[in-house]
Amino acid sequence: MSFNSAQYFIFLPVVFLVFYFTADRYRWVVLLVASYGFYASFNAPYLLAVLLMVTGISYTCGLRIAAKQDETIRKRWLWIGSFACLTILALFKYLPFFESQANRTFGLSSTLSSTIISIGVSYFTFQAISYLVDIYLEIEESECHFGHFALYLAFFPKLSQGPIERAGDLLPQLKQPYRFDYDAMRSGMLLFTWGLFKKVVVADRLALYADQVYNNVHNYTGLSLIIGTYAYALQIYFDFAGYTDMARGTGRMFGINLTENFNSPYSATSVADFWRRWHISFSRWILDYIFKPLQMAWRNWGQAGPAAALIVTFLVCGIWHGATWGFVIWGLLHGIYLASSTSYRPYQKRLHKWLGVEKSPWLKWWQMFVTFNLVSFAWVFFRSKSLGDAWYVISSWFHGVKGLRSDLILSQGRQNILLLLACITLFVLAAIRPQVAERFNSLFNGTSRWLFYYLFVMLILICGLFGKAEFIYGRF
Amino acid sequence: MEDSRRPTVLFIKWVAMLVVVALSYTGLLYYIVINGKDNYLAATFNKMKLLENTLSPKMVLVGGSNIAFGLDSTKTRQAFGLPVVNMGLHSGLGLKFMLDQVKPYINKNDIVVIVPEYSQYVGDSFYGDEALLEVVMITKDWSALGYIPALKIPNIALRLNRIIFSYYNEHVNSDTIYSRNSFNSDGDLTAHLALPNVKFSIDYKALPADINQKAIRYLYNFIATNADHGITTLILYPCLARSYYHRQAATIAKIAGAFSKNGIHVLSSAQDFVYDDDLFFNTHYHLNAQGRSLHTEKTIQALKVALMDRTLAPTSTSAQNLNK
Amino acid sequence: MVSEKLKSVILGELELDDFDIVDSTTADMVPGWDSLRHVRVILAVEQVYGIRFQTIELIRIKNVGDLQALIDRKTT
Repeated sequence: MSFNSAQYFIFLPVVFLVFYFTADRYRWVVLLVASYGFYASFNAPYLLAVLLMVTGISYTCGLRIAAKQDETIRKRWLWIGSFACLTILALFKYLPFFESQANRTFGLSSTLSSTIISIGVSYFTFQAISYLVDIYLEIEESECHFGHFALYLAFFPKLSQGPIERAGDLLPQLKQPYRFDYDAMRSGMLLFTWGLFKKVVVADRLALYADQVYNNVHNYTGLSLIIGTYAYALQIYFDFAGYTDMARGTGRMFGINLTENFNSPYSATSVADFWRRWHISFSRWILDYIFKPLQMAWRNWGQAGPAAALIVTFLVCGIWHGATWGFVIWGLLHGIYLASSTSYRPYQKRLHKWLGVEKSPWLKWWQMFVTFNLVSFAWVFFRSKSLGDAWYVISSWFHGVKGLRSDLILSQGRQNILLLLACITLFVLAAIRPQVAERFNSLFNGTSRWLFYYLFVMLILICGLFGKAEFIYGRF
Repeated sequence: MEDSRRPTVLFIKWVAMLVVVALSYTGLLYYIVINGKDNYLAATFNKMKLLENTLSPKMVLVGGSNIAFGLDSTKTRQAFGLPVVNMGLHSGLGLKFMLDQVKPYINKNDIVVIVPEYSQYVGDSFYGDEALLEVVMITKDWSALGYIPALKIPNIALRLNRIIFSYYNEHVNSDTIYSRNSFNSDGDLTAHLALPNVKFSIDYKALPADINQKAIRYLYNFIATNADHGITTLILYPCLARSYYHRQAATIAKIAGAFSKNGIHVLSSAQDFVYDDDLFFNTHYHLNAQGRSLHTEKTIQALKVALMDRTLAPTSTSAQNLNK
Repeated sequence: MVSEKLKSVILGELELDDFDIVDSTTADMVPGWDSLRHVRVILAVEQVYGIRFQTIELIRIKNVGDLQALIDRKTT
């Protein structure tokens, strides 16, 4: 089930009640059963088998790595475990590709891959790999309690789309006794509601425009394509940040703090800064487990070393999202952005000094604007249904403003665009002026807070779009 | 202050708030629906009245908005010499509801022409969604809620918020073809005929791939029961925009296969009623004036052929055999 | 014990005049010691001490004390 469906609104309180009234030492059982039940609700029984398999493999390999002293044996178990997890992941990701090749070679017409869903697999396999590596590097201890370990991988708030949790962050929390904390409950439910707002009111309404353009790119030209791209850039943020808020809010209700995944990513002043603010649990994963080792291994290549490491890392990043050229190019673009910035950074600093703008606030705005556009340019490849479509989009950008107002902006009605403008302005203000965020928070903390809870929930019910249960990052 | 921090108090407050929210939301929906005398879906009153008051023998057209927009009942009446009642309103009512709706009013020697949208045979559209919920509130026929699977009702109620959000557009602003007054006296939608095409994007979402076997069987039983009472039932595929057809061709072929496997004879093939995109008014099922006259002609032809060849309608004996 | 030699190499690469570097100091405690600079620090250490580290050894380093211990192992 999806976080924005009526079923989840019933599932969550039921699970919480059972959790609350269970004796503390069995609470992990409740959560584990709930998590597998949650996963079962996607109607793909093979997924449960996969989760169990990955859990079993990483649990055993983890214990073996920790138990042995011999370097070669430890490394062997690390490779076995990681390789098994990666193979499982690759199988899911590349099944459509293999299938189409097999169809072509053997003249079959299998459509198996279109019925297979892989929700959650990318996230828990990466989590399992980080667990194994951390044990190997002796940063973490192995977990002997199979139940706790299984819960570490399966915990339902983060099961479908992360955050990707490190063993050191989540395992200790799962072992802590639960104590009812009024403030944690309240802030958890509020965070959940904010996430729901971001998803059903903002992201899904932005999607109306982005989908219109990107599902039929040839119907649009010029500025409409740019607006459609910006709409997608904002949609994917609100969609994923909304999900993360709901995940973290849910976790908080159970006394678990999941890691933050976003930190105002579009206020980044450089692409490097963007990646420190976007899908943080994932970018830290590729930073720690791919980039740093590669960078270290290639440290004697001078300038080329870190540059190559960045490109490889972001190629992996692209491929993790999906086995299509669009994702590969998207990853490659980011790799190139980052690699080139390591070389031109000192010149850029000199230029700013020479122009005398290094301390100017205008510089910051300019950098934010440029970064947002660089990132949006890359999103074109991420979202386009094919390379042909992407090429069409980037080559038709400056072909005028025909049809922008009637065919795109007003196509979903006046209320839609006005509501979106109001919401986005609100979020931008909250990001750049902390006082605005403070003011809002005080509404929900004051004496009439129940009134504001009521109004907020009503706002979501009235203005939200509930037809689409899917989240964008559930596909990866 | 200490008391309010205890979990039970919080729980009670929270439950109370949710109850208030649910009541306010349903209340708001209900208020808007019952005050919408000129709503598109309020046309259900007109259609039911028409159905009740039209004497047999008659021809009844059953389906969603595709037949409302795309069939000319006057021409059909002239071709067959029978009064024609166009019950087409909204595919969201669900085919089950549509069939049950006409059951009490069809008699011996009537002809029922069923032309549902493809979505009725896959997934669970057969049972109805938001449109049915809205019609239930308009007609206050609460038993019809039973058509919708219980677990789906909250989701559907949430999706119906469209009528609150677009209240100004759809209910206060009368400049829309989606109104009760857009229908003519036969039940055809005619408000769009004088208007130019509205630019629309073809819905890219694929139809669910799972055929609803219960729906097909229900349809079969409907045909068979009718046959027992001397009522002719004819099934047709709906009109469809070409680019939409191309995307859904595989699923449509599957549906056709399911029909033949279950002994349901469909008068046309799907491709017969696929037309160029520019013959459509504002969605891939709604024909414009030009498309409508072309489609009516073709439909009349298909019906004529079928009615002259009576063996196409299942007889009572074959019906009993397959019912086992 | 962090040797003066190692301390001066680190401070030199990070372009810092002074910073209290002890066994338990980690990179994120020291201003400017990001992953890019970290590589340069390692390269400088390898050059100054005339040694060569294996990548896996470097990834295991958690603080300056570990680095010193690694250097000591390589230079005896």
